Amino acid sequence: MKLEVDVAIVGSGAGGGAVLDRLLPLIGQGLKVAVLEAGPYFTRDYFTQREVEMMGIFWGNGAWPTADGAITMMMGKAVGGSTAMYTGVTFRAPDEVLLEWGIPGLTPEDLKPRYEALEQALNVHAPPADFVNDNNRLFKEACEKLGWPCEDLRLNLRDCDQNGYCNLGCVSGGKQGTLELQIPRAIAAGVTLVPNCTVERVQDRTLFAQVQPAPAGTQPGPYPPGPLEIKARLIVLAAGCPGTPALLLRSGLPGLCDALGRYVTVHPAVTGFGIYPHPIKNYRGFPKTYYTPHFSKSHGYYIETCFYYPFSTAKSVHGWGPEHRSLMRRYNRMLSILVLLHDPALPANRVTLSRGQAKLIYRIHPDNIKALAHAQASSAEIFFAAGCDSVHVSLADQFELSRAEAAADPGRFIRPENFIPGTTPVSSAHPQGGCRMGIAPKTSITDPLGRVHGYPWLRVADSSLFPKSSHVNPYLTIMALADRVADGIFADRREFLP
Amino acid sequence: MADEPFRYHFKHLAGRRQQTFLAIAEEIIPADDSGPGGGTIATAALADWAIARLDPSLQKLLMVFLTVWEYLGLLFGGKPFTRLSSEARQRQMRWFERSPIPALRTGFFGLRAMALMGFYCREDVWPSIGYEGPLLFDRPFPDPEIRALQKGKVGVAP
Repeated sequence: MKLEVDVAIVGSGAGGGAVLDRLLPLIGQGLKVAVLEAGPYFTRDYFTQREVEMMGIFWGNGAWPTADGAITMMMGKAVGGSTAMYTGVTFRAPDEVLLEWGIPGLTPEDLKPRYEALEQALNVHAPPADFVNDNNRLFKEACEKLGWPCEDLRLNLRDCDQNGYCNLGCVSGGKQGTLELQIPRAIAAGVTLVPNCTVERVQDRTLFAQVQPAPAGTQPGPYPPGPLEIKARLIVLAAGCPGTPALLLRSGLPGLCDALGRYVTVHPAVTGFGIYPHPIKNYRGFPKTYYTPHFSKSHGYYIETCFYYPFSTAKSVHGWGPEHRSLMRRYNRMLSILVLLHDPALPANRVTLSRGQAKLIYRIHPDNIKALAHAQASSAEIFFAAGCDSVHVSLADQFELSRAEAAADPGRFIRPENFIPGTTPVSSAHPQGGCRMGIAPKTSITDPLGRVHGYPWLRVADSSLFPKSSHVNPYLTIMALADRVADGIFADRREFLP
Repeated sequence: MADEPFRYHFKHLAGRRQQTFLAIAEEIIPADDSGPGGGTIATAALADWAIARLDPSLQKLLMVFLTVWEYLGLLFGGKPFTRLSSEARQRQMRWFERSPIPALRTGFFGLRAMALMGFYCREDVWPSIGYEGPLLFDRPFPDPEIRALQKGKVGVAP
């Protein structure tokens, strides 16, 4: 099958959605746009709040590890991309991060109005008081006792019914992700959405793709399974990291520098647990409303609240055997928090190909392991200050630290030497980089507006543009960068668009 | 018949590999006074369903790893893993968990994940951990097989 359009967008997550929204006025004037999404088109009715049934909304059905198996990558494979399974936590990239990136024109002043407009469109706001379940309330009280700042996690919600299953797909439509906002608007405007469409190669304004059968219970696309060739005047790659760098590596476009695929950061995430004296059922209610940035500048991490479902929790609990089972029996007494580490952008951490498929080679930096030990000691302080009887963190010398022995100084029991890659549970939902933007074609893949060096008809509009870690949950910054990419498209419209 | 076990046809965890998986799962989630351990057909069936949906290369690796695991039991007690005592099994598992060879550690981590999924995704297990299940408990799913497997009453299809 063949399709010819003016603009083809590969990927329907945060980046693709933001570009789509900007193109809407032109679509109204006759611009033909197609969105090609590797994942299926799940609608709200599909989401059952059951972990094993929802594994299909993740890349690799939830089992997509880094090459060494040490980190489980959790990315959405769905129309809406990872916005179909995120929690809606909305951060602006801190000014110091943008300054550290050092991209000409990409300043806090440039992004501020974009952030403001996006936040208004996505209904971003601080969580109202009735959103705060015990896990979050106790976290806040503990931070206040410790004298640490505790800030609201701003959320992009509208009429959220607080089911608590955001990471398994939103059943109410309250989460203002691409699946709920930009995609329906685009379809109504006449955009062609092709779900289950794996783009294999891009070459000379043409995408070569394979359409897969739609899984049962999902919305079928306009094309039958089989090869699909898409010609476009302009192509926007918004397949994220590792999707976009892998596609460019597969395509073998001449002239792209050795930075392609490299400088990937993943924002490694590790969960810790406290055991409260009595049941508090933290699996109910909105899972994330607070965080502390207290150690961001000094030690390189944030601590956010979180709470997950039984299997995800069991997987995040270190070890096995009677201790593991005993801890899981207290699932309804657990408090849970997530450590997010600021990882360095290194050339050795990279997307590569294995039999044509993306592979992520990533090694956790020793400084991050030291920071993790510090973060787990901080987490233990929070749990004990919250009133927990005991704490489970993966770098502790023993499985469970009791209040009596450890509350005074939990750091004595938590050591970086206890970190074992592939055994210590680590996950990532924020992969970034691989197509870093910059000025010089010798050190970057795109210019500051996402134009691929040497290929003016090819743009990148996703997290792979990040030259270094965003330090914070990245989706809003992805959208703000995609908005800049749309600026570039408008600037060049006479050249490429009808 | 509501009380009849659901007859499941294993695709990957069959034969000897199933026995190895059950022995590992029982050590990962041992029986206690809250109920049976993870080494049951119900756990294996749910894990098998999930394995069937993984990337084929990952499926293959897991199956090869299970076979290797079984015979490496000889190094830890002179017998294949399924015939070892519980103490010897745990010795082998502890060694794998801290093995200097990354592939052995991650292989064990993968099996551990499958056992935990097979166990903690079951409705019959949830009361023992105080989990009341999804708010939309009875919302149908397009694949009735996985919903039946989550009930925890499973028999092996011939």
